[in-house]
Parts: sequence; C-alpha cells; structure tokens
Amino acid sequence: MSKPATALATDMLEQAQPDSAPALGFDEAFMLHHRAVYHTAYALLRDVGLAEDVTQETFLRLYRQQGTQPAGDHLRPWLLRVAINLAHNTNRTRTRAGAREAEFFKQAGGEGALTPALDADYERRAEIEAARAALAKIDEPMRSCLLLKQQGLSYREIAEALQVNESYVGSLVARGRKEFVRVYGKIGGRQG
Amino acid sequence: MNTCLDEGMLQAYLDGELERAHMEACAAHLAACATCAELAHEAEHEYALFATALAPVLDAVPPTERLRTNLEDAIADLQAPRFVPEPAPARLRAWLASFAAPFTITPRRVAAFASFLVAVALTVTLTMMRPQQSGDGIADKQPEPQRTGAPANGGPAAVPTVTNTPAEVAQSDGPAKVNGPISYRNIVHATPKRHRPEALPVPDVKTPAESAPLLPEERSYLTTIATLDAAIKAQGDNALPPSVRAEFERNLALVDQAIIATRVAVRRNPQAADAKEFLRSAYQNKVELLSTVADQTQFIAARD
Repeated sequence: MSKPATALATDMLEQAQPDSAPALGFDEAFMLHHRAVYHTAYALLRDVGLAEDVTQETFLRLYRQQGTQPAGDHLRPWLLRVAINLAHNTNRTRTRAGAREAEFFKQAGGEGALTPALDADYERRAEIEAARAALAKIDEPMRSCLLLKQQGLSYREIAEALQVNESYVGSLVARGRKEFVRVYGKIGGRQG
Repeated sequence: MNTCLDEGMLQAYLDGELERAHMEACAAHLAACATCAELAHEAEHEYALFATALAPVLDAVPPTERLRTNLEDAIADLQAPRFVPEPAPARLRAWLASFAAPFTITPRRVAAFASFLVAVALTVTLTMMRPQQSGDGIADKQPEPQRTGAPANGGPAAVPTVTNTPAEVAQSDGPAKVNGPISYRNIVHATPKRHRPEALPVPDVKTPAESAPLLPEERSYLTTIATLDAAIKAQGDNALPPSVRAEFERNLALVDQAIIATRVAVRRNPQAADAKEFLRSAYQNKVELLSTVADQTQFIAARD
C-alpha cells in the first residue's frame, strides 16, 4: 500500500501549531487514540473484557469533558493517564480469579497438560502470558514508562501522562527494561 | 563528554530524546569509551527482546466496532432524561400536603375570599333594596377558590451534569468502589437503580459520530468503505490468519490517522486544493486496503 498521503498528512500535522489546530471531534479522538488506550489497558489488566471496560470508561470521561478536554498534543497523554489510573484501580479491586486463571495456565504448561509442539496457538498464548506476567512484576512507574515508550510516546508525553519529571523518564525506561529482561528470563520467556 | 554516561542519559540517547548538542557529545563518547559502547549494545539488545516479547500483546486487535457501539449506547444513556423517584419521607410529606392544600392560606385565596364576601354583600344589598321583584337569581359568579399546592410527586428531575476538572478526573480513584468483579455496568452504572418511564421524551441530541460534519466528497467514500467493511465482517473474525489480521489493523490505523489529519487540514483551510487532494488520497488508500482484504477473505473462505 503506498503511503504518500500518510507521510504528507503526518508532515502537515507536524507543521501545524498544536494550539492553533482545530480541536478534534469526539469521534476523531476515538479513532486516533482508542488503539493505544486499549493496548495499554490490555497489557496492564491481562483481560480482554476488563480492557474493553477501561477503554470505554476512558472515552466516556473524555466525552463528559467536552469543551474542557485537553487539546492537541496533550490529549493522548491525558487519555493514557486516565486509562492507567482506571486499570490500576481495577487491578486493586478485582477478585483473585484472574490470578488463579494465570496460575492454572502456568501450571498447565509446566505439567505438560498441553503439548506445545502440537498447538501453535497455545505457544503464542503462552508467549503473550509470559510477557504480561513479566510486565506485571515490574513496579510502577517503570512498567507504565515501558508500555508507553513501546507505544511510541515521546519522553515529554510519558512525563505528562505519568506526572513524572521528564528528565527522569530515561532512567525509568532503562531500569524497567533491565527488570523486564531479568523477570522474563525467569518466567521462561524466549531470550531471542 | 569525558565522564561515562549514566543509564538515563544512555537510554535517552538511544531513544533520540536528547538535544542535538547532547546527542553529538554522547555519540563522540561512545566512539571513544569501550565500556559505554558495550553498555549501549547491551541496552539495545535488551530493548529488542522487550519489544519482541511485548509485540503480541500490543498487536492484539481491539474490538473497535464493539467499543464504538457500546460507547454510543453509554453516551445516549447519559443524555436521556432520568426519572429519579423521590425518597420515601419526601413522598409522604407531599401526600399529606395534598390534603392540607385546600386549607392553606395564600394571598390569592385571601383575595378570592374577599371578592366572594363583596359579591355576597352586594347581592344581599341589592336584594334588600328590591324586595318586590321576582328573583332572577344573580348568577353566583364567585370565583372558585384557587387550588394550589404541591403536586403528588415531584416529576422527573434533571440529573446534574458531572463536571470534574481534567485534573480531578485523571487523578480520581477511577470507577466507583464496588464489590465483586469490575464490569462495565459496575463502572458506569454505579448509581442507585433508576426508573425510566417510556412516556418521557428523549431529547434530540447528536451522537458523537454526527458531531463533526462530513465534507462534501466524503459521503461516497464512506458508503464504499461501509460496504467493504460489511463484506469483510461477513466472513467472520477468523477469516484472516492472526499475523495478517494484525498487519491489516496496523495499516488501517495508519490510514485512519491520515484521514483524520487531512480532515483537520481541510477544515482549517477549506480553499486549499492540496489538502482536499490529500484527503481524497487517504480515503482512496483505505478503499484499496479494504478491497484487498475483502478479496483475500473471500478467497480464503471459498478455498476452505
């Protein structure tokens, strides 16, 4: 697929002054940012249904802010901050059922209940679960820093989303990265 | 730069987040310092491992249409007028008040009673002044005492709009604290049950999808896109292999961003022919993408 329109549109958007650009409509904001919000929620919650709930609630809060919502470059960090807060609250209050499910999955793999070689889908799911389990063991704000960095946010946006000093973001990403690799190796993820 | 790079500086260099002068200084140091160069290499390797491990998580396909539909339903629910029944003590007081209403002294009733007395006095006077005349009863035109008082119930009350500042919202504790598993209904409807009588009119409000008016040339593209989208969905979610689907979603996200960006540009400069051309190209890209995927899903479905 040719991308001349995409590249040119990106250039046009970058050249526009954020404060003078017309505010995005709600639908446009949803189209632009719902994937990042959903992926962040999914990575933090390890549950598709809860990730959907958090995504919907995040945009519902944006809808309620119409007229006073952050504009331009500030919208995405704001949305992700709301999503991360909601995800953390959800994690704190949900039952242990989610942890039991993850434990069962881990034990099923360890005891050979399913033969990985015969189930390619299982292998993929096991990789996803290992990555998410490793991510869950990293402390905040390093974990969120890593997630947001991986989704293409700049240090300034990460600092705004997580309410940390921008000069500190590099250290958080570096420490989070080291911790992830250490934990991921222990869980049994592929080392590349 | 003679001192070795700390981990934060090194990471910022690798991420391209330093100012130009600092970037050049770091590059020069890495060229001269074997220790820092080794650390940089290790950091790149670790980050690549992290990115690879997390790729399946971040490539998960979001249920865009379901999210949009549920969101629109929730917003319509927010906008519908709600009937909030009064609490029981208030209802009892109102019911009792309805009995006392006729006996409540109000200025209007005082005036009405005074008028009645005047009318009666006139009638009596006139009657006494004409004792022999047959009585055409003067029509008793005293006004009915006005009945006022509280209605039996307060009627539907408008729900106050929640207006938190962005900081409050972002810093809030999130959804209302509820017991048990968190679900969408718990998050959004963590309020007392409400009764919504069907007779109440629903205000005519625009859904979010209608809030941004379409540009003239968009309608035909949107019709084509909707047709192709329906054709893809008709084949089911499993019509495409997961990796192909992930790639499709990524390309779709790129195209959608291009469409939004060019729409913004056209709205800012309605007379700019270039902006309109870019918008047409962006839509055309989306149509081509969807056509390709629709053909592929149909081919796979026919083969299976």
